[in-house]
Amino acid sequence: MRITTTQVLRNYQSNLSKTVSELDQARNRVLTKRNFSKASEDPASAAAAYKLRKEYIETGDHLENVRDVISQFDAVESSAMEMNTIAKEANALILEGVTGSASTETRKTIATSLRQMQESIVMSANSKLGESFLFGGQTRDAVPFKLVDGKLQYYGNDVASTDPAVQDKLKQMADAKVYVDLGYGLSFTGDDMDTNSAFNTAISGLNTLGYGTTADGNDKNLVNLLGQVADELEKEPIDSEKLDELSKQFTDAKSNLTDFITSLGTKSTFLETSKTRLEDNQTTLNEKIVSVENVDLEVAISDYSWAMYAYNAALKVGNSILGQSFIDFMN
Amino acid sequence: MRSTFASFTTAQLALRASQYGLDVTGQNVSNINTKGYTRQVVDQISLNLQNAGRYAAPANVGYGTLVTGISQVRDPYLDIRFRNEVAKVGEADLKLAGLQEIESVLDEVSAQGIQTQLSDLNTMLQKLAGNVSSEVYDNMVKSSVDSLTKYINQCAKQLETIRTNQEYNFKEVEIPEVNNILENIAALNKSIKDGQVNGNPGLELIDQRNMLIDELASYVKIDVTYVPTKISESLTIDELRIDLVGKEDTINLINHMDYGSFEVTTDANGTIQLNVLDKNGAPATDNKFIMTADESTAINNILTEIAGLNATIEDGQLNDTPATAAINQRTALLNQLKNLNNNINISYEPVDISGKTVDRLKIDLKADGNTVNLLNHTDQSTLAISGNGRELTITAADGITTTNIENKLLGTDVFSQLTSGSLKGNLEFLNSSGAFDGSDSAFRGIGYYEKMLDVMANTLATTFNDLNNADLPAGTLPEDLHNLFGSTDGGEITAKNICVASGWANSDYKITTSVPEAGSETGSDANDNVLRMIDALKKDQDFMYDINDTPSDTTDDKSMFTGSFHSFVSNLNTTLGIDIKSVSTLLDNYVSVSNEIADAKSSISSVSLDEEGMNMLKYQKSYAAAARFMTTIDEALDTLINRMGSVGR
Repeated sequence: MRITTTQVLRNYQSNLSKTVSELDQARNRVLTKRNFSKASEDPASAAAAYKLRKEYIETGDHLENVRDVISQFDAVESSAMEMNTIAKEANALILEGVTGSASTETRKTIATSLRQMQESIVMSANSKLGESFLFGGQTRDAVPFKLVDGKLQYYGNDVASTDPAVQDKLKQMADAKVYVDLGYGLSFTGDDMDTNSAFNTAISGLNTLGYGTTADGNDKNLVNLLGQVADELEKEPIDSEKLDELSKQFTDAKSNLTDFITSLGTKSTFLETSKTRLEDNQTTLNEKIVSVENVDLEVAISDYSWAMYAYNAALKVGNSILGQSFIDFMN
Repeated sequence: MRSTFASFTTAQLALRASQYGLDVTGQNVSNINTKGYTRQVVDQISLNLQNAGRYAAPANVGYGTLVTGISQVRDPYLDIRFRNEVAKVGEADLKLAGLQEIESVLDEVSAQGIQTQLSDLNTMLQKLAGNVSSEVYDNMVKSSVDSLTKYINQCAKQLETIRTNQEYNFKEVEIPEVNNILENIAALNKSIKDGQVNGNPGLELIDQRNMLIDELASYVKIDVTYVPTKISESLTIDELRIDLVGKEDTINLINHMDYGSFEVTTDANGTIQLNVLDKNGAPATDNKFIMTADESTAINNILTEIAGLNATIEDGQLNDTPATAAINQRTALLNQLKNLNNNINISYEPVDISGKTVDRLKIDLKADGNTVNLLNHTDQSTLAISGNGRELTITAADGITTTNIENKLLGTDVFSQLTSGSLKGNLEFLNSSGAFDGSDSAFRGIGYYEKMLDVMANTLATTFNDLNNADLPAGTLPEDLHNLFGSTDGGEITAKNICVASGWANSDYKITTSVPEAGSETGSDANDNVLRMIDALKKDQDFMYDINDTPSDTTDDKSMFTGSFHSFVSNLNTTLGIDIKSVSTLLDNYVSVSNEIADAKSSISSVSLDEEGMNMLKYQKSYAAAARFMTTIDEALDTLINRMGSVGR
C-alpha cells in the first residue's frame, strides 16, 4: 500500500486526539472520584445507583420515624411509670384505710391524699411531648383527660358512662390507630392498609387507665376508682364490704397499668431492634453506593498514569513523524 | 520513409514531455497540503505516425513521445464507498449531539433532579404522617411538591429550548448550507464544462466539486453519476447528475447545470417537514416529462405555425418553386422548438405524391420511455398541462385520441424516504418519538422525552389529586375539588404547566390526611390517607398515554411504563443513557470505517514526497537526455550537411 504524508498526518492526528480524550477521562475519574458522571457512560450502574440512592434516602426516613417513635414511647413510659408509682402509693394508702383500725381522722386524711393522687395521675396522663399529648390516641392536639367532680372525662366523654352511644365512642377512641412507616413494607390491600406492614403509635389513655364498667357495675377506671374509694373512706360508718370490692377493683386497674407498662417495654425493644436494623441497612446501602458510583482510587490513579504514559509516547512519536524523505537525500 | 530532420521533433517532444513532468511534479509538491487535492500525472504515449501501410519501411521507428493530457489519480469506487459511509456518520453524529443535549437536562447522576425531589416528597410525607395535626408539616409537603413541579417544569422548558435551537439550526443553518452546496456544484459543473469544451481538463475544479459532493454526501445519501454527453464529433464530456437515494424513490437534485433545493415547512401539528424542490421551485417529481404550462402553450403556437408552413413548403416542392422564405422560417421555428424542450425529436418522412417524392416533417416528443407524435405534416396534436403542472395531456389531431403522462410527486415530505445522512438524523431527532409513534423500534427523539415527562406529570397529578379528593362526595364540581396539583394555564396537566393547585397553594384546603370509613369518625391525628400517598409514591403505577388525545375515551390509551414514579424517571434516564451509548458506538464504527476509506483514498490520491522526489530526478534526467539527444542529432546532421561530399574541395 502506498503511504503518503497526508495519510500519516491524519492518522497521527486522530490517534493523538483519542489519546488526549482517554487521558482526560482518566484524569476526570481521579479528580471527581466517580466511576461515571453521566448515565450514558455506564447505564447499568446508573440504574443501580438511582435505585440505591432512593433506598438510602427512604431508609433515612424510616430511621427518623423510628427515632421519633422511640422518643415518644420513652416519654410515654416515664409518664406511665409516674402514674404507676402514684398508684402504688395509693394502693398502700387504701390498704391502710380499709383496715378497721384506722380512725375517722386518718381515713379522711387518706381520702384527701387519694383525691390529690387522682389529680396527679390525670396530670401525668395529660403530659405532652413537644406539641402532642402522649395519651391522646388518635387525637394529640387537645387535652385528653379532665376531672369533673371527681369523675374522669376523656375528650368530654364520661369514661364510665352507661350510655351505649358513649360506650361505642370510647371503644372506638381506645382502638383508633396512628400508623407509622418503619420500613416494614407499608402496603395496602384495596383501600385498607395491611396492619402488619406499619407500626401503630397511637396510645390512648383509656387503655392505660381503664374505662367502662365491670359486670358488677363497678368502674374500671383507675382515677374514678380512687375517687370512689375516697368517697367511701369519708363515709361514717364505713361500708367495709364496698371498700373491699373497690379496693380489689383498684388492684385490677393497677395491674392493668402495669401490664400496659410491660407491653410498652416489649414495643420499645422492637423499636430498638428496628433502629439497629435500619442503621445497618443504611451502612450497607452506603457501601453499595460507594462501590457503584465511586472509583477505586488505586485503579483510577494507575489508569491515569498509564494514559499519561501513552500520551507522552504519542507526543514523542509525533515529533519525529515527519522524518526525512527521499527529497532530503537528493543531490 | 522517415524524414531526415524528424529526430529534431523527437528531441523537442521529449524535452516538452519532461518539462510537463517537472511542471506537474511542482504542482503536486506545492499542493501537498491542499485540502481535497488529487495527485496529478502526465499522460504520455509513444508516438508513431507510420502505419503498416503499403510503403512501410522495414524498420519502423517511432517519432518520440506525446503528452496527451494531465489526469488525476482517483478511484471512483472509493468515492462511492466514502460517500455512503459519510452519510451514516452524518446521521449518527447529529443524533448523538442531540441526545447529549437532552442528557444535560435529564441526567441526575451528578446533579439533583426529579428523583431527588420525589425522595424529598416522600420524606416530607413521612414527617407529615407522624404529625398530621400540625399545620407546619402540611406546608412542608406543599413546598416539596412546589419544588418537584418546578423541576419538572424546568426539564420541560429546557427540552423545548433544545427543540427550538435544533429546529433553528436545521432550518436556518443546515438547509441553506445544503442548498448552497447544490448551487455551487451546479456552478462548478458549468465552469468545468466551459473549460473542457476549450480543452482544459479543469482538474482543480473537479477537486473542488468532489469536496462539495463529499460534503453533500454527509447530509443525504446520494447517487453520483456521470452522463457522457456528446458536444461534437471529437468531444464527449461527462455531465454530472446527483440523485437523492430514497427508500423507494430516487429524487433528482442536480442534473448538470440544473439544481434543485431543499425546503423546510411546518405542518398543522407543528411537525417539521422537509421537501425537495426542482429547479423551478415546485415540488420535485419523477420527471417523466419536463415542461411548464407556458412552454406547452409556446410549443402549441409554434406547432400551428410550422403546420401552416409545411403546407406551403410542400406546395412549393410539388410545383418546383421552392418556398425558400417558408423553409428558412420553419428552420428558425424548429430551432426555437428544440430550445424549448430537449426531448423533441424532428424527423422527415419521404412520401410519394403524384410521382414526386417529398419529405414530410414529423415532430415527436419523447416522454416516459415512449414517443408521442406532436405534428405529422399538417396534423397537429395539442399539448395541455394540468394538475399543478404535473399532468401532460396530448390530444391528437383527430381530437379524440389522448395521451396522458403524469409526473409522480416525490419531493413533498421526504422524511420517510431518507435512509441516512445528517438531514435524516436531524429530522429523526425532531420528529420521532419512539413508542409514541406506535412502534417500539422507532428512534427515540426529543419528542419521546417531552411526551414521557408529560405522561409522568399527568400520572403524578391524577394519582395524588384522586387520593386527596377521596373524602369528597361523588359528583363534586371540578372547582370544588381538593386537588393538590393543577396547571398554570388551567388546561390539561403537562410537564410544562404542572404546579401546586391554587386552592392548596392559598390554603383553602389542606392535604386530606384521613378518609374515615362511612359512619365513623377519626381523630385529628389519623393519617391513613397520608400513608396511602406514601404508598402511591412507592407502588407500581400504570403510566398511560392518551394516543388520540381524548381523555374521556380510555380504550385507546397505551401503557408506556409500569413501575413507581421513581423507577419511571430512573428508567427514562437510563433509556437515554443506553441510546446515547449505542449511537456513540455506531458513530465510532462509522467513523472508523470512513477513516479507513479516507485512508485508502489518500493512499491513492494524495501526494507522496518520496515519489515526487523521484519524479524530479526522473524528469530532470530525461530532460537532460533529450537535450543531449538534440545536440547529438545536430552534430550528426552537421556531418551530413557540412562535411559530406567535401573531399578535395
